[in-house]
Amino acid sequence: MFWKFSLFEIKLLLRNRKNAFIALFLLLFFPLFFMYYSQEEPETLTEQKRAETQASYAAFYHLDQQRHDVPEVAEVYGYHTQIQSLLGMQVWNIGSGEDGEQYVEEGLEINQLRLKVHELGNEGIPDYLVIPEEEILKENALLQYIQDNNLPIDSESFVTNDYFADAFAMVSGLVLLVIILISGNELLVYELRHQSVMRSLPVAFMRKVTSKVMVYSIFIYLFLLLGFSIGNLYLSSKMEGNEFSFPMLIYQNEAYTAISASRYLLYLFLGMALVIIFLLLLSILLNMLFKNAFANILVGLGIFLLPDIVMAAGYNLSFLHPVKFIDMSKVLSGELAVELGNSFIDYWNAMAVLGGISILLIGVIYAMNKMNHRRVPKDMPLEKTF
Amino acid sequence: MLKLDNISVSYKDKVVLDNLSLTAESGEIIGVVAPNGTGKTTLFHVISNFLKPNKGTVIFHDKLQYKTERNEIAIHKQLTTFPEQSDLFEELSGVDHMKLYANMWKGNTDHVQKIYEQLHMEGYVKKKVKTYSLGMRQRLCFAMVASADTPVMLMDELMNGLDVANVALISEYLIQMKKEGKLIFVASHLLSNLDLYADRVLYLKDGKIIHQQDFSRTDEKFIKIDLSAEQYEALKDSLPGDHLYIAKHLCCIPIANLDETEKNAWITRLSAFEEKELTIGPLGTAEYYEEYYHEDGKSLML
Repeated sequence: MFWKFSLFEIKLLLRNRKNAFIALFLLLFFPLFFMYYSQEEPETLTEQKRAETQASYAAFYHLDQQRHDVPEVAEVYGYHTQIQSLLGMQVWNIGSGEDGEQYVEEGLEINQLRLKVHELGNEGIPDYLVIPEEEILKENALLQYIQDNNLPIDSESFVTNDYFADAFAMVSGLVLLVIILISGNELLVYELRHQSVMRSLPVAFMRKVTSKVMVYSIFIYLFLLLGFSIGNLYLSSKMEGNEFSFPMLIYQNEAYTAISASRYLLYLFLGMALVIIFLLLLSILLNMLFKNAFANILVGLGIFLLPDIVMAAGYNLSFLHPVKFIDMSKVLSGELAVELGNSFIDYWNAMAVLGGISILLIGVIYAMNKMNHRRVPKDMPLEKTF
Repeated sequence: MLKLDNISVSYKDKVVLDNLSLTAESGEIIGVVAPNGTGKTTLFHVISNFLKPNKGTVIFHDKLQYKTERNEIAIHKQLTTFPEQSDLFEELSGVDHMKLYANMWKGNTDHVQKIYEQLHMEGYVKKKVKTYSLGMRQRLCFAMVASADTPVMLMDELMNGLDVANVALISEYLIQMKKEGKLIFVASHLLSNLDLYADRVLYLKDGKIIHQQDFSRTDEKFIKIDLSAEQYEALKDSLPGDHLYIAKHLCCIPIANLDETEKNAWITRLSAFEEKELTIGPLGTAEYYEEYYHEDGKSLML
């Protein structure tokens, strides 16, 4: 019975034009995004290093003026001299020297020196020239990964990894939320429009809910995966790299860690699967409460924006933070932890919290349904809704 | 098979069903007759638990009651309700709808084709519902219930929008389902049609069953003649005390308590009204309807 009901749900889903548009959007998003961004010429490693060298020169100018008077500045100056020299070596090694391993060695050394400069409080360096500690740690994690896995430093896979991160940064969070809220805004409400057809079906309410969540989550997830695969195929045809063994950065246990792109994508898609299920369960609950398709979208968006509104009002309420966990890209990159000033927000914590809230939602839906069945009419008869 | 025990439904000061009790067995077609807004649909909603009554219980097979969701599912596995035309899915075909009901209740769709062929729906059943006329939709609703093939069927406004040929077709199908042992409740304004297949007709008024017409009883026969008010007034005093004068035109004399001589005497006497047709037989649904709802019988369809 469950599967037959699910087949009917699939039939309805496929006949609904709204879902056709959602499928089309998910299919086209990644290819179009990659197509657009691949038109731009990415900054080469040499250009990056040259820019760093220039910034370092500028820092020298300021340090030189104070180093004779302040001993800490003199120490920073010393470190900067070494950094400057190593940057020069890096430019050589990725150019004529063609020694990637040496480049990585020097990069790691530069990061250690930069961290020492941080420990000295960046004395003598103007704020705009200070490299944030976060950035140093991120680059260090990346270089360490490259060294451990003996990867070439000039692969285009670094560029494709950036595309992946950027594309998911755009699609996860608000965009995915809107897609799911629109897709799921009538999960139960449509039954009200076809009440005399649907109301007497001999299927338990929770089985119906399970079927609907399953069908819609598979639908969204499938097209998300398909869209990404098509986009990735496009990237493969345009660029050389596109190997999933190259590193991507994630924030974990209050630190930045580099993991392979394949693992990053696995985490991200697992996370998105949970987010989709969570939001569809939320849609079911909102459908039960408001019995209105538009309310589902408006209230859902309102809940998502609530932490931002509260923060804009000057409050940072940590119990509202889980709402933002649906932006898995931000959770993985650590951006959300920084944004909300909560260093505990990392992938596994977010997954555990979202999983917990999803179970809670199931509990609330179950309890509401039970209560509806147990209600005893007093002055007025009670009508069955779903 | 089905028992309604003291069902009451009331909204503030409006009483829709008032301590209504009823027992029904399988292999029965029970007609439910009343003007619009007098509780037919409410009664069906109570039987199917779409509406929890203020008071009273619905009992299936002497034990099953709508106390838990599990029980509700167990009862709904044996019961289908007639869908409303406006609730059909416009983008789905007739077959899709029939398959939904067949799958949900029977677990397979093997019998669907036979049903739509029997109901002469082959020409349109695979098209989207949005292309259907009123009559086609009504036949589809019936076909859905037939596809579910449950022991109990509640058919509200069954014959709405159907032409004469389709009314006959569905009436025939109902008789066939009765023979298969189904318990079928039919609410219809097509009164004389109920006489063809119903075993009982219930007349609802003020939330109560005010009369139960049992077609299996042969002793409820009447001498019936159409009389104007003046003609009736002239005869009134000599008529037996249990006679009926329905809707100010139909005079009915019960023959159960008359001996042969009295019967012949009344036939001879009433034959004097030459322009009027004199018949002997039970009262039909339409006649009872007039009897009980003459004042508010606007929706009557003979």
